[in-house]
Amino acid sequence: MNHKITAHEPEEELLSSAEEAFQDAEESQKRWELWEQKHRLKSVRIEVPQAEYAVLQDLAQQQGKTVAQFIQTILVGALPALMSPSQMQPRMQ
Amino acid sequence: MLSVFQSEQTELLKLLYDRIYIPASELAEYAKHGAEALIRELLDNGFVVVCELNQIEKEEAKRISEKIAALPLTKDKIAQNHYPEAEAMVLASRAELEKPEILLDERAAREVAKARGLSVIGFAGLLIRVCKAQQLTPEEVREIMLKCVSLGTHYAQEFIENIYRQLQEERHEP
Repeated sequence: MNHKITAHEPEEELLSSAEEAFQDAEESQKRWELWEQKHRLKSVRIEVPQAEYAVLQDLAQQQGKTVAQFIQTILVGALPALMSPSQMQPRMQ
Repeated sequence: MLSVFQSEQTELLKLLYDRIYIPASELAEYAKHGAEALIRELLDNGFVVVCELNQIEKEEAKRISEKIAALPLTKDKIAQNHYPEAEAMVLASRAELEKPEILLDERAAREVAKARGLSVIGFAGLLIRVCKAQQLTPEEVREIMLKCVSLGTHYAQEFIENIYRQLQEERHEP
């Protein structure tokens, strides 16, 4: 990247307590876990090659989705092709 | 977000968030700091969405900016300079966004946001979360924060070292 990003205004006092920064992180993690529980979601981390990522990004954009949402749609949509509904049902309880 | 751009860590945001919402007034703020091209790129790929506030929301943002300017935590007493953060707070209060996190490093703005019941996280908090998920090492967290400092962001040296030490200690805990 060849961008020169200037800093926050010097008269602004920034967060300087490590304890508060760790608290931010901990609370954020808890919120994320609660959100997952509420929406009955489970996070999965996947790596995709950069070239394919660019394609996924284009396709996701066409559908007004983020790449993560687009991959989620593809994966969940592909399940019936991999396993019959009767086989899937016991695992989905 | 300025620290995210300074340290070239926009990918880090994508590890934690599905989408970032910013009020329209933030665009001018990013342009002022030289981040116009970066924000444009994120807008183009749909990761960042710009939201326009209605008149009632703008009036609320004006009141919030005055509240921030009045706090002893800021030396900048011009309310208008705090307006973009104030708009972000109003935006974060919208019910349809399901209580999002608001990314704020400025202490005065953080205090006002917390008093409004918003969920606040600073740039260091983001880095700590990513480090705890083992997507960054403590050394990388320190390096990223130092890069922001080298570009003029006034994170205290002690603040950075305390975070680094604690992350290292946690890494070595059984």
